[in-house]
Amino acid sequence: MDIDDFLSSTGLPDVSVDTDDALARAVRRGRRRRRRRLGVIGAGAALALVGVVSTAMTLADSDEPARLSTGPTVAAEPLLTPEPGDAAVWNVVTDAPPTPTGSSFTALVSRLGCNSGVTGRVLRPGVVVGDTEVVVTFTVEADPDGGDCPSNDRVPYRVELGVELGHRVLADGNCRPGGAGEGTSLCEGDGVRWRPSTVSTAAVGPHQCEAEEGSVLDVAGEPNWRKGADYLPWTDRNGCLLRIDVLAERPGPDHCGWGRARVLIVGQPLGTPSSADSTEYVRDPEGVFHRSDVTAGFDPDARLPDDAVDTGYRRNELMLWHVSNDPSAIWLVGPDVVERWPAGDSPLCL
Amino acid sequence: MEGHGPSFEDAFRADYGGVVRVISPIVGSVADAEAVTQDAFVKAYTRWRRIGQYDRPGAWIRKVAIRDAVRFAERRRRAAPGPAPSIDPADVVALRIDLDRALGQLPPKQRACVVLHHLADWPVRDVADALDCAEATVRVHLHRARRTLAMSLESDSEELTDGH
Repeated sequence: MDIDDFLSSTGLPDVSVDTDDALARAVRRGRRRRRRRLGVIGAGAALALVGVVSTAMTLADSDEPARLSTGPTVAAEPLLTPEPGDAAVWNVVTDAPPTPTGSSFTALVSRLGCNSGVTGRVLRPGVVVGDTEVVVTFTVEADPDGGDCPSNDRVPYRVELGVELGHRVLADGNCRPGGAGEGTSLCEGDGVRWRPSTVSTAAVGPHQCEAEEGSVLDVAGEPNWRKGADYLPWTDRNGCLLRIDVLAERPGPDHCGWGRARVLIVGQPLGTPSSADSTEYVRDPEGVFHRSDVTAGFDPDARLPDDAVDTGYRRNELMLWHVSNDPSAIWLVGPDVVERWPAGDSPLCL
Repeated sequence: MEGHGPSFEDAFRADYGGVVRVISPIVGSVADAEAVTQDAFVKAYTRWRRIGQYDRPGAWIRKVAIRDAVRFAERRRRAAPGPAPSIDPADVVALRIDLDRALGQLPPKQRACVVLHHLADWPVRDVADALDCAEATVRVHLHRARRTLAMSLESDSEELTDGH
């Protein structure tokens, strides 16, 4: 049975719930939780003396590099939820960002609420490691007195993830729906504090790698095409440049007024030099090539076919997908886009 | 808990059952779906002065519940790698058992995408919003999930054929 037919014939399950009972339980739990919040504030008052000492220590190290040089607090076992306290937001250290191969990083933590510029002691954070993201939620020692509202200082805290970060995004749990900072200016970008691509692109970028003669990475042995046009750099998954005759993307020639179109020349079969056989894929949404078939075949919001596979070829965050044995189109998949580029010869510009 | 928007009770009665229904295939059981949905409504309760003023408080609650459901499923998957537990057929009237088994093999985010897009008929844009990711990411999840489901259902079909 076709999977789409099957899924469309199957709706959500019917479920039977006792809404009255569930409502009563939710209200009871909600009231308890609100009372607990008030209790935390009360306990914070009892710790005021400790807070003053802690605050004084923090203020003594008033500039960030000095505090960093003393070494951040190190978390013990990561927990799913943070210790009870006041909400805090965090960011990574710009000069020493996390790395995909690391299993810990330093967060600069700042109390969310008004407290006259003082964050205070950072408590053990909640760390939830998912397949694609790590959500870290910080709290700081409760301070019932509050204060004026300049932004609070940033206190370093070493977060142990327990696993290698890999290609997961790091996000601030207090910026997620239901989080204390949701919707505030401190949570721009939905609280995503670090993306692996940002670092890998900036730190590594497309680069020439050692390669066997004649392999797809043998840039030293490629034809001398790059001088003729502004070819965009395609790489493998590791950022190693591909030979220009394996995969070449260039804009249409400007002197013919075709600069807004782009052409991707792919050796056939994929992964072989185009000297034997090649296919051109064309991105021409404005029709500057005056080829109605390629303009119509371009889809800026495409759906990947079921049998499409990732070629492993990359241009920064863009991935190249294709369907084996079907060279009629190719797909460029980015964080916010899936484009279908149809096969079609670009016209000759003299 | 009074304000200009709907009361907490109104919102609860309007949305609770629907949220449980949407997330039960993601977490694998109606009981777990009720627990996760309860948590989302409790979060809303403690913030109702603000949440109740939203145009659609139910949308906020549903979003929180869906994300918590995915995290719940991811935590359970890490704790006990392998397919998610099957939905108790006694809980579910209309869900086909082979789909239940096949869905359990998917990673939680792929499962959520299939449930929301294919079973609940949400547009890709709404799924991306609920899961806090790009539409392209949802499409990739759907693509991979459909391929896995197709293989799994084909295998089920062959087993049935062999059985006869």
